Amino acid sequence: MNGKWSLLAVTAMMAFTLTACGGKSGEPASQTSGGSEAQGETVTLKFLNISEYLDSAEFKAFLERFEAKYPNIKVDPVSVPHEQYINKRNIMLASGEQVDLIWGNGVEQFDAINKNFLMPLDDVAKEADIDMSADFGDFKPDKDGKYYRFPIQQNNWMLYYNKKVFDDAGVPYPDPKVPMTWDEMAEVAQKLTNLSGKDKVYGMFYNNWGMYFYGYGSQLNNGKFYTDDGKVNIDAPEFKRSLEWMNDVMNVRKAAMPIAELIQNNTDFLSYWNGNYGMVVGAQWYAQLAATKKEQFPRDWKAGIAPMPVPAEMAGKHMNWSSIDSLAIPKNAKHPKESLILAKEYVSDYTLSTGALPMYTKVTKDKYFENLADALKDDDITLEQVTYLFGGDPDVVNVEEKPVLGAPQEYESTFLDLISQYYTGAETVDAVLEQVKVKVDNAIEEQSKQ
Amino acid sequence: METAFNEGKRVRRGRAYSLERLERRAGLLFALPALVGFLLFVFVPMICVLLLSLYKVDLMTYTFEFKGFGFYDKMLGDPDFWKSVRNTLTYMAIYVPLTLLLGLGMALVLNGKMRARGVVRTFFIIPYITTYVATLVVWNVFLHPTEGPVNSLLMSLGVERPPQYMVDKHWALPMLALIGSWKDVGYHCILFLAALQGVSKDYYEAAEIDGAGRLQRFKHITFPLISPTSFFLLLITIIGGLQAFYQMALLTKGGPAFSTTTMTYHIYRSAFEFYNFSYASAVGMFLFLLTLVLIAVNWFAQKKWVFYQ
Repeated sequence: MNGKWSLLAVTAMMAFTLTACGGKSGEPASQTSGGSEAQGETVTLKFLNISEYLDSAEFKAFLERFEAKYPNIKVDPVSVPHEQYINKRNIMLASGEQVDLIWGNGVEQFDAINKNFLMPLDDVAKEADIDMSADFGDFKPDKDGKYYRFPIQQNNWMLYYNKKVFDDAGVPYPDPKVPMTWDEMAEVAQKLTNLSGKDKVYGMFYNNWGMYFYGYGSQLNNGKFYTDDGKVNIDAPEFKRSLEWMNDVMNVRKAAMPIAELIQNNTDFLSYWNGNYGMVVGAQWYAQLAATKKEQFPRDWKAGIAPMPVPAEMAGKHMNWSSIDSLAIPKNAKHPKESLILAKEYVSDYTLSTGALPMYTKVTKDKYFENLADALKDDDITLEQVTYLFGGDPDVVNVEEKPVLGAPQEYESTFLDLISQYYTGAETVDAVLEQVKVKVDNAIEEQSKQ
Repeated sequence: METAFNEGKRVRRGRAYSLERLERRAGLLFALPALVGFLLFVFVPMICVLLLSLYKVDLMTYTFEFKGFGFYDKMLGDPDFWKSVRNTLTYMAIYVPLTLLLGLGMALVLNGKMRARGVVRTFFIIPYITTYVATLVVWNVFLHPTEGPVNSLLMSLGVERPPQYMVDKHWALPMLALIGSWKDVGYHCILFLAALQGVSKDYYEAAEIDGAGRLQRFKHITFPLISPTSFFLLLITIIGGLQAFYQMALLTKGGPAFSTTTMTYHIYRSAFEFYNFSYASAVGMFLFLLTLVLIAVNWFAQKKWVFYQ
C-alpha cells in the first residue's frame, strides 16, 4: 500500500515539476498580428527602453499624442536606468518574458539577432506601410537578406570641449571644421591637465567602452574588426597602435584618469559634465542628455564642439564611428504590426524631440538642426556647426564603431575585461590582444555550431 | 479476569497509539509550510535546472531539444569553467579558514574578562547585519587605488606603487575573500561565543588543578566541547564560500582578466549575459554535486573530531 502511495506521490511530483518547468506551451507568435487593430480590439504593447528616454516629459507627451492617434493601442513602458539596461534586457529576452518592442544599440541588437531572439521585420513592415529598404536612407539588411532592426538614429561622434579649461590653460580652442589628429589631441590634453589643485583637471575624459581604446584603429582600417574568414582581427597593427595611443595619454602624459581609478570610481559617462575635464569624444547623446539639459547638469562653463580627431593619415577628413540605435521586435511578441506602428511613430514624432536626428527619411532635418542650435546658443554654438557635426555633412566618412558581427557581446566584454591589464602595466599590449583573440574566436566558433 | 485485563491493555495501547498518531499529524502539520516552501522554491527549481541542463531550450517559443550530456561535455572542455572552479577553490581556501579562525579568536577574547563586552560584541556583529551593498561601497572607498586610506597610508610609508586591488588580477580575489570574511565573521563569533559559554567552568578548574596549561586546556577541553558548533560553522562557511557572488557582481564583475569569476558568477554570466541557460544549468548541477561531495566528506570526517556530549 505504502509503495503505491509513494509511486503516486512521485508521479504527481514529476508531473507537477514538468508543468512548472515548462510553463504554458504557448505557440510562437505569428509573424503578423492578425490585425487586432482592425478588429477593434485594444492591444497593450510592452515597450522596453532606457529610463533617460522613457521617463522624459517629451516621451509622456508623445504617448498622449500616440494613444490619441491610435486609440486601440496602449503602451506599457518598461523603463530601466541605462546602467542596468543590458542586464534587464538580457534577462527578459533569455527567460522568454513577453515584450513587444525593445531598444538597443548595435552590439545588443546584433547579439540578439545572432541568438535568434528577434523577429525579421520584412513582412510585418509591409503591413505597417514601411519600406525598410528606402525609408531609412542607406540602411542594409542585417542578416541573410532580412531586416531585424528598425533604425532610430545613427550616432554622430564629435569632440566636445570645455572652453573654461582651455581658457585657464591658455590653449586655443580646436578648429570647428578641421579635425585634430589624435597625436595633436594628446598634446593638447597634456597642456590642459592640472593635477595640482584641489579638483584635479584632466585634459581628456574617456569612458570604459571599447571604442575609446580601439576606435582610432577602426578609423585606420575602416572598422575591420573581423578577418575575411570571420575571425577576430583585434590583433591587427592598427588596433595595437590605437591602444598604445591611449596608454600614452593615460600613463605617459598623465592627461586622462588612470583606468584603475576610473573603474573603481564606477565613473558614469555623464561625469564629463562636472567640468573637471578638458575634452571628450562623444556622440549626439551628450548634447541630448547633458549639454541641453542645464537644469539637470548645471554648469558655469561653455561647451564647444569640433569634429572627432582622426589619424594623421586621414588628416582633414570628417570621420564618424557609425553605430545605429534601433528598435526591434522579439520573436514571441504578440502584436508585431502594432509594435512597428509604435516604432514608426517613435522615430518620426518622438526622436526629434529628444534632440536626435532620426534616420527615418520622412522627417525633415532642418527643424531638428534649428532646435538643437537654439538649445546650444548659450554655448555660442552656431547652426552651421550643428548641421555639420550632427548628421548634416554628406561627406562624412563612417567606420564601424564596434564589432557587431560574430559574438559581439563576448567580443566587447572580453576586450574590456582584459584591457585594464595592459593599462595597469600587468600585461603587454600583445599579450592582451592575443588573449582577446583566442577567447572570442572560441566564442564565434561555438556560436557557429549553434 | 484475564480478558478484562487484556481489554484494558488494548484500550490503553489504542489511546497511546491514537495520541501518537495525533502528535505525528500535528508535527506534520507544523512542518507542512516549510515542506511546501522547500518543494516549491528548492526542489522544483532544482529539478528544472537538471532538466534545463539536458535540453537546449528556447524559452521564447518553449521549444526543447534533448541534448543528453552535451552541455556537460561542453562544460568540461571549457577553459573558463575550469578557471571559475580554480577561482572558487582559491576563494574558499582564504575565506573558510580566515572566517573560522577569526570568529573563534574573537569569541575567545570576548569570553575572557573584559570591559564593555556588550559594546564590543555589538561592533563585531555590525558587519553581518549590514547590507552587502553598503558594505561593499565602504570597502570600495577604503581600497581606492589613489585616494583610499589604505593606499594613502602605504604611500606615506614610502611604497611607490601600492596595489591596485580591484583591477589587479593577483589582488582582486584575495581582497574579495577578505571582504566576505569580514562580513561573516561576526556571526561566527556570536555562535562560537555561545558555545564557549556553554562549557562548564568545572572542567577548567579540574584541569588547572591537574596542572594543564592554557594550550592544553584549549586542546583537551574547549575544542572538543565546542566541536559540534565548529562543525556546523564549517559546513555553512563551505557552502557560503561556494556560493560567493555579491562581491563579484557588485565590485569586479568577475574581472579583471576573469580573475574573480567564481562558479556562481560564471553561471550568472552564462545565463544572463550570454543567454546560455542550458550550459549555466550544467555548471549549476556541477556546483551542487561539488557542494554535496564537500559536505559528505566533512560529514564522515566529523566522526574523528566532533565530540557530542
